[in-house]
Amino acid sequence: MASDGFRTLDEKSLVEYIKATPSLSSKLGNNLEDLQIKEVGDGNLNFVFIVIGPSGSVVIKQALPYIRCIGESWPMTTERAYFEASTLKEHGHLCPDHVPEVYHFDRTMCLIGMRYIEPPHIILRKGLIAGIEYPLLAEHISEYMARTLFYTSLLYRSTTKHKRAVAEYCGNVELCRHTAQVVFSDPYKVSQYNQWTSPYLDSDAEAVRTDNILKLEVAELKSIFCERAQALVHGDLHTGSVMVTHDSTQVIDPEFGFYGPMGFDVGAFLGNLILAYFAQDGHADEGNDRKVYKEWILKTIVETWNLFHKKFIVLWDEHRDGSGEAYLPDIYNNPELQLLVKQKYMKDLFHDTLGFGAAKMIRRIVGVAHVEDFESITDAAKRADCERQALSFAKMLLKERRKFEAITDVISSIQHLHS
Amino acid sequence: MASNGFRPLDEKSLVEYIKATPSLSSKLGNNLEGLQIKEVGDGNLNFVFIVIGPSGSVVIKQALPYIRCIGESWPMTKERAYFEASTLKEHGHLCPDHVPEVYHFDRTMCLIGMRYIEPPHIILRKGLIAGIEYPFLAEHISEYMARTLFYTSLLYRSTTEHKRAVAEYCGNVELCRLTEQVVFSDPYKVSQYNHWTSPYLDSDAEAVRTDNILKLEVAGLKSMFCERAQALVHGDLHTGSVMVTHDSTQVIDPEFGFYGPMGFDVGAFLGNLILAYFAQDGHADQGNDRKVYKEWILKTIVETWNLFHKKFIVLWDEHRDGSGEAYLPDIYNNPELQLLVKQKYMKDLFHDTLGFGAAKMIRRIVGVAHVEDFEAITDAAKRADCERQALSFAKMLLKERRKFEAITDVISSIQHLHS
Repeated sequence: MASDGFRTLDEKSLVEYIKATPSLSSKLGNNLEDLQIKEVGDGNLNFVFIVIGPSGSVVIKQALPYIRCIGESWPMTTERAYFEASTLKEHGHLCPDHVPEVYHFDRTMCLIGMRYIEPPHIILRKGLIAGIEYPLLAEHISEYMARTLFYTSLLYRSTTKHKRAVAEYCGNVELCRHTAQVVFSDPYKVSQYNQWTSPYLDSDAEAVRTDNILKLEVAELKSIFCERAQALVHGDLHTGSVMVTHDSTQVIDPEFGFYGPMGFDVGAFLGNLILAYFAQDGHADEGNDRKVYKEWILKTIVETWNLFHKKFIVLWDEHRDGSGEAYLPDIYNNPELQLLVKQKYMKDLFHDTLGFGAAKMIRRIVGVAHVEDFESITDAAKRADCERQALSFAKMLLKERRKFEAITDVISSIQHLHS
Repeated sequence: MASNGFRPLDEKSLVEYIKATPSLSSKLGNNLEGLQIKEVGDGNLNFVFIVIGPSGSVVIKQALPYIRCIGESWPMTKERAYFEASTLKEHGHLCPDHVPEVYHFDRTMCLIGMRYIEPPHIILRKGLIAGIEYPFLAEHISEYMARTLFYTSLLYRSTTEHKRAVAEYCGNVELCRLTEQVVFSDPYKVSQYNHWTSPYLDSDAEAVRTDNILKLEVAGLKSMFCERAQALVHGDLHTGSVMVTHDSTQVIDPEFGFYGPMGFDVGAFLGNLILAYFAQDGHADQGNDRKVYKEWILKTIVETWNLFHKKFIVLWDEHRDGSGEAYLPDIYNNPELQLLVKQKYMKDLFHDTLGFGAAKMIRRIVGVAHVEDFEAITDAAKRADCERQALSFAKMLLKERRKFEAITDVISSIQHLHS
């Protein structure tokens, strides 16, 4: 055992841990003889155990001191569990319908116990690959984003509270550095970790490394990411961080949580939906050409943004005379001005969203960690074709984002590019 | 005595304090019988004692738990002394020629002991009112700004160091809130603390309170001030925070120090020079029409920005392959791109500077704390005339700043407006 008390658990040692932890054993019904434990972590960073007892279930998530999908050669602080737990609690308080409840947090063991998101919930990304429609997805995810981003910003908070929270989450710097590396840096240079569908995308990858205007735009986004403490963002809101059923949407894995730009979350989600769109031709088969599903994805992108915009403004109006200090009501005191400020704020947020979304798309095609949407397309030529279209679109979006005024303009652009 | 050990000192109790503090008594030569002590604080916030002994001198600055120029009705944390001392030390390390050395800091007593900036040093603002030229001012102040802002930014620092420092200075939130109130809020609404040269500027003050576009722009600047942790700024770099002789320039009073936008410092300084310019007609007399001096002020504004720009770029180039993480050399790896990024960075910084400078000008004319440049003009009609011109210029600058490409454009604009 490490001298600071941390030790890695496995299915066996976890049973003893649970028995010794009332906040966990009570969820399982205190009858712990027949626990079923299964390790299911399929993400890039942690071990995840599903624990099912006779009278209940929990999920136990433990952070190990390295990036799981790479190995011990890429260390990553176990303190990230603290920030994940904090963000889960904060976001869970703001949006309990779409965040699993935290039962237990053990800082020494870097371990979180939380509600098991039970079957038939699956990871959204897998549902998108399978071609499943989720009629409430846009409504739910826009609710999550609007509430978590609004309530942790200066539109709702005083600067006193805001700065205190900003200071606390400055501690999650290693995860931020990780993002700065894999999203804003590695794809734009030769890096040992980069990979792409070769040889098909060799010249596309090189084009990314040699595109000056692209790099100029990326620098600006990186600067906003590193410097702008706008709200408590999830930090990694891709379609692998969402679990869904036909009428339930749950957001998980906020270990990258910190005070950063709102557009980083909204962009991550929409960008991954766009990736899912471009991957559809790779999943088409004789029984299903995915045409209808592609339309559903585009519709979901539009609805997600529009509902997010709407809900965000509703919250803003609701709390206009409240505790937020960004727009004091005595100054922003007439309807014409209030409309102007909202329009400007949302326009800037829209452009940030498109920029960050594009950057996230690019990194999933020529960077270290790819997405199952493409990776599951076994025909390499077909996969490269889908990836190339997505990459072309993302590059254009990153560079031209300020020209887009509405989300429907973005959709038109996707349809125009998509063969 | 307060239970936490704090007690305000006066000329008498200070002697005992010094006797008990070796780092101070040693500066005075250990012969403490004939100490001359004079309280000279003429700023808005603190008590400042000049202590002259037979073999040396020190300045003792103590923060009281309220704003001195208002009184106990406006409390202000005395913890600001800690952030002033920290910023003095950090900036002093980066630019020892232009920052007084810190000898002693007592956190409990909220007290700093530092080098006495001896006569003939005077406060720059007084020199500007008196019509004194300072041939090294642009060179020195640009050196101070370039070094303090560059070296505390991500152009030089890693995000790890940067975030740790950002977190620490989040503690200076109360001083930031004071700035948010007096610079970005009060002038734009009815506030008990606002005042202006009345009745002459009554409608000008009302115009500020009812200008929607101005308020829209102010919101953008306030957001940047509250959210953007770009560098360790002085935080109050007006001409009252600088002491000068013919060939020496010393920057004092960095108690507002925090991680904020670089343009806030450069803008504060240039904005106050512009105020000094517009006030000159109010100081003109039969012996001196101040025409030559006005030209000198304009020349100083141009040189300050141009030298700052030049020195900043020199530092950037010098450390291009260093520890800074904003522009990794493996990505920003060709001269064309390096030029592009520098041009964009400096253009954005220029526009931030103009915006913050304009906001600082506005608040000194219709807000709570005015400047001696105007207050010293005893003829109220004359004073209002000068203030009105400055205010008109500042409003235009705040709204139109993105149209200015070079500092000489700004000068042309000043000359065009100035009758």
